[in-house]
Amino acid sequence: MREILERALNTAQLLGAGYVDARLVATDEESIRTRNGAVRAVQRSQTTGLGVRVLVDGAWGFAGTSSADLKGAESAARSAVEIAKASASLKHRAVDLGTPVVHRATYVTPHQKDPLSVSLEDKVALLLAADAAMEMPKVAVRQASLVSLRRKQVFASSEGSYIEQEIVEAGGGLEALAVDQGEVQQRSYPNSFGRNQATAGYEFVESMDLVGQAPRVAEEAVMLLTAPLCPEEETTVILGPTQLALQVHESCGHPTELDRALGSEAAYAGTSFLMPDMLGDFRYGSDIVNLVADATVPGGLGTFGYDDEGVPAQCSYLVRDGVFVGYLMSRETAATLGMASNGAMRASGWDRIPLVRMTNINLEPGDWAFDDLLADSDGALYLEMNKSWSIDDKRLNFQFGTEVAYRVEGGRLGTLYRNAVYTGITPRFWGDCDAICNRDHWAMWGTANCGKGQPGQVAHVGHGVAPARFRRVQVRPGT
Amino acid sequence: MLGKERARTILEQVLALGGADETEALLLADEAALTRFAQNAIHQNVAQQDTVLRVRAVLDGRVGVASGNDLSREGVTAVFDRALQAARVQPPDPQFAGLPQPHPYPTLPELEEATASVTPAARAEFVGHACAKAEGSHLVAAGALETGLREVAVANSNGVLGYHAGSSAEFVTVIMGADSSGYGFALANTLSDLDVEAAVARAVDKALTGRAPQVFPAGHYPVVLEPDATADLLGSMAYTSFGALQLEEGSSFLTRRLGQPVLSSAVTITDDALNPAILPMPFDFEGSPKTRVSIIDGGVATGVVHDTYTASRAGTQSTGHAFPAPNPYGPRATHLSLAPGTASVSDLVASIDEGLLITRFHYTRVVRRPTVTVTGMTRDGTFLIRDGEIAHPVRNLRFTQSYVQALQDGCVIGAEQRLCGEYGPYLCPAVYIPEFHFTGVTDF
Repeated sequence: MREILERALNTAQLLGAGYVDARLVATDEESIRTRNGAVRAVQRSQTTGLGVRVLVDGAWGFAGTSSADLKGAESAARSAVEIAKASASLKHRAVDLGTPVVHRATYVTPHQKDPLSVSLEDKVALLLAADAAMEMPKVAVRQASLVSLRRKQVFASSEGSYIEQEIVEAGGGLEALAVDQGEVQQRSYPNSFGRNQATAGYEFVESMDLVGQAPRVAEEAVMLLTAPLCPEEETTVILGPTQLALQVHESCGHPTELDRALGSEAAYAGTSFLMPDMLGDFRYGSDIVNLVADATVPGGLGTFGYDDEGVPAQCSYLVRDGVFVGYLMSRETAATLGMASNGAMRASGWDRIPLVRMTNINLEPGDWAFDDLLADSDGALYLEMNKSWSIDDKRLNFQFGTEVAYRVEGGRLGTLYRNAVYTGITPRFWGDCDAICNRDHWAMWGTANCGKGQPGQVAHVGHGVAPARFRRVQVRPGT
Repeated sequence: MLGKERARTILEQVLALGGADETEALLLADEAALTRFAQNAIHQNVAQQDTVLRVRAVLDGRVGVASGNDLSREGVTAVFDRALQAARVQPPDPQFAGLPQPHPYPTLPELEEATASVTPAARAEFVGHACAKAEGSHLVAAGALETGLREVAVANSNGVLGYHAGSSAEFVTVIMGADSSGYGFALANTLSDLDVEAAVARAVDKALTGRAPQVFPAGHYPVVLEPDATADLLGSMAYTSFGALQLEEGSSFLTRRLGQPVLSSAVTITDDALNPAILPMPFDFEGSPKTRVSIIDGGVATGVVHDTYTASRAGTQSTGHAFPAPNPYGPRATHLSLAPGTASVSDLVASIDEGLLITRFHYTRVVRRPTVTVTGMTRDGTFLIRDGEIAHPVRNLRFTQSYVQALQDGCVIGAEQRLCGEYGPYLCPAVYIPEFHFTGVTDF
């Protein structure tokens, strides 16, 4: 393995590259999905490949190949250098990576049960039992799924880094779709988008109690069919944990990606309203809002040892006491601000370049007990679990829909409404955050579908949150 | 490039392995290169090649799938063994009606190899022209030029055997001023047919005419959607409603309405992957021949797309819209076309007293499936129409709108189709919609 990487580094350097890094990645992934009592997908995918990234004349080139051998390494390095030379013909300025980064290390995700060693029979039986437990009239579609993943990666750079990592992930979830008289409603568990996922072993799946939760999920989907439409009003809202995780992802995670702020994603995902000249004094939220990028949280889906430039995982503030204070950064983008990378450069696989990506973007806990928050919020709406999400290209104007909306009545979750959506402008919304629940209610949520880049990449990122309250929120029915 | 003969050798190697009642082997080989630019300069520039083998093994009505990119004899055997193991551990699927039978495939044009082997320097030259045009107008360009070759080869133990190689070239740009932006997109089978110049010209024009946008209040207004915005209507309908699985489950707006009028009589929508101009495919990912499918004809719901699995339950034939197994989401329409009407865009604009011209939408998501109610933002050029003429640019607005309702009574279809690409290769004209629901404005 070392020989293959060294061949890539040496070939590129001999052809004129001033900097080279190479990643050899082997991914083993198993996905199982049941639908309406039948197994609809049992798939095992094993892929290996090599990605070589070079700087020639201060411009980038990258080539990825599934031929992860000496010949493939040499060929990929040649191709990357040729591409970089073409980039140099139309460059803005020479890329500066800042101070060299050199680490020799290994990292393995802490886990108890290797998810890929648990038998397929046991996993299929679990999902079919959960599927059966969701069976009831008006539930037209019952789905359950499990994902197990192991990614072994070796990173080497011409600066002298050599890092071996093994990332282990496990995830699972349920979905019930109820249909009646033209109305369609869904409930999910433990999160929407099919599942919750973590860097962890199979013990993470076992902790979900999928079979035990399944009847409630189905019953709630059916209850939503006849629930009244969410009324239109400006009101106080409490966001439940999974919806708040999505809120953090879209309205804090993406706009604090420095490459977006610098225009690198302008033609695709967009830019950001958080510009570098706002660092340190722009009021992003209320005084109680503290947001960090933390790639070290145990179990976080964005937890790792080193990013794909060999920078160690770390924790840094994005928003402190409500003020915008930091970005997610790569070596190149950090250098444009005279700063050092905070380890947020990640690729979805060997066939993609690393991009500035979220790690775990976490809202730090406040000091409220959840029951106290409900008792203090009579008449508010409790919104939970994302159903639809849309935000503009600067990450300002958002509208999110949730699976459920409950009126807070007498300190409890009372009337259930269907089709709730809420809308807002990011800094105004966070500026109206006046209560965050404490660490007892704080948990990590995995987002395994974060898209970015051309060609497209899907990143696995995490969000730690506890329920929080927001004043003056516009809510309406998403009819 | 994998090549037809090498592909056939690998497929036959899989089919020769024993132990399954039925076996399907699918090879997907990609060679792609993409030059990405921002701030009028190349900032990312990549190429990658990969070939993935997917095997579907069927054993007593149980179906397992495995994939891998090790194409050595041992690697191929390992993929087959994993598929067989996956099949063994699950209960039979009584609704699985078997793998497809062989059928003749339509003939498509030969591969344009020049596009497959375009050099990084050639891509940089195209990009350089785009950036120079933007710079010449004191604007900033971002975007990407991608060229690629894709080979699809599929075979099964019933005698299906297909191989197709196709090239593609795609260009997208967003060109920006201080407070404005414009969008340009071009897609073609070959780089020589890619009209980058026209895409850049559209984007520059919008960025220049979109300067100094004014806030316009949310409300219900008539709109003219340009083709890239129209494509969003088709894409969201395809996602929620044009597949047989959604029809069967009841979440499609076509459920129990086939044969009935569901949209304006001006609306005719077809799916046609055999149109040689737009990234054609002779067969789908399980080897069923592609067919042209009428989905809406003169406003009447006429059909949905099928794969073998949904077709067997519906008592019909696959239309050739299977995705690679396992695919729990069902068949999908990928090559949609909204038939043109007779009105020019200026005719459509002239018909509006007060309304909006929309270049395209951004980050749209379905809020409610049965009505295909969607929320999203306008982007890259939104203009106020007053007294039948463009008055001035406006800031982006949020909308929440039923796309089904939008294409019902009163909509008028434009005469000129354009190839749009966000959801797939769609042919779309501009559309006039008498009332569109804008629910918010960005005034920050």
